[in-house]
Amino acid sequence: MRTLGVLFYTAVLVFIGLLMIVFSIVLSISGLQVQSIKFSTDLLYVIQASLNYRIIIGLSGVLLIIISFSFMQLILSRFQREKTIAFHSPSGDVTIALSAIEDLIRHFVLIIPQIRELKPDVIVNRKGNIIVNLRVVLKSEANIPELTAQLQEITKSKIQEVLGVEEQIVIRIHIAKIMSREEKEKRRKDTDKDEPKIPFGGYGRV
Amino acid sequence: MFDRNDSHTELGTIKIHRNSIASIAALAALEIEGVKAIGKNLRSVILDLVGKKDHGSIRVEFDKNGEVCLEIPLVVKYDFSIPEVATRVQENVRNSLEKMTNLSIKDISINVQSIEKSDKIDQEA
Repeated sequence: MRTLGVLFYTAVLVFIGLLMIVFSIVLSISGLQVQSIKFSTDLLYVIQASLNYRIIIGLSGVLLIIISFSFMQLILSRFQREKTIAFHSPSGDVTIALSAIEDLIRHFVLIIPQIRELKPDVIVNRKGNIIVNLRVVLKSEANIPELTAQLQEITKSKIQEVLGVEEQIVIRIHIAKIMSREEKEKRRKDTDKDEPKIPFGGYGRV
Repeated sequence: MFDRNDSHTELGTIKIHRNSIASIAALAALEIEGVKAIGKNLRSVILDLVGKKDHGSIRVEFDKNGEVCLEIPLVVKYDFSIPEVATRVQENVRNSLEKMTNLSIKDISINVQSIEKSDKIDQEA
C-alpha cells in the first residue's frame, strides 16, 4: 500500500514536471502569439516574453522529475531493506527479502494437490520470529485438520531448510474458501464459453 | 577518483572501473550452482529496455583504504539452501576479484531478492 502511495505521488510529480516542460516548449514556438491563444494574465505574458523564464520553467520541470525518481528509489529501497531477514557471514552480510520467502512458499505448496490457491504473507516481528500467514482456498475433498497440519509442517521445515534459520517460525493458516465440485464445473464451463469457436470447425475434407 | 581504483606501476597508472568489478562479480556469482540470475534495480531495468547490458544493480564502493565493498542482489533457484549459495557466491566473487584485479575485498553483501524455479524443473513439471 505504501509502495502504491509512493508510486502515485511520483506519477503526479512526473506529470507536473512534464506539463512544465511542454508549457515552456509551447511558449517558445514563435507561431503562437499571446493574443491568438488568449492568455490574459500578465504572468504568462512575462514568461513568454523572456527566454530565461522559459528555460527556468523547463529546467525546473526536469529537476522535478529527477528528484521524484530519486525520491521514489530511496523510499522503495528503504522499505525493501526493512522487509528482509539478515545473516552475518565472515565475508559480509546476507539479506533475504521476505518476498523471496513468499515465492518459495508458493513454489513448494504446489505439491499438495488439495490446495487450489494460496496467498502467503511473511512478517518478521520485533523479537526476530518469522510469522507466516497463509490464506488458502481448498478443494472440497480435502480433510482440513490433516491438510493444515501437513501444510504447517512442510512450510516450517522447508523454510528452515532453505534459509538455515533457527528462529521460531509461526505458521498461521486462514482457509478463505472451500471450492465445491459444482463451482469447479461452473468455472470450467465459463472458461469454455469464453473461448471463441471457429465457425464450421470440425468439418474436414474427406 | 571515487569511482575507480588506481594502482601505480613503473610504466604508468592502472585504473579499474567499478563497472569492470561489477562484471567480474556478476560472472563469478553466476558460476555458482543455485544462482538463477543477478537481481535488478530501476536503473538496470531501464537499461535492459534500451537494450544495453549492464551490471548496475551490483553496488561497488571503495572505502578510504582503497578496499572494495560489494553488494550483490541475487535471484536464487528453488530448492537450494540460501546460506550455502550465498557463502559460495561470496567466496567465488572474492577469489575471482583477487585473482583478476589484485584488489583487497573488505565486504561482499548478498541480497536475495527472489526465488525462482530453474528451467529444468519447469520442463519436468
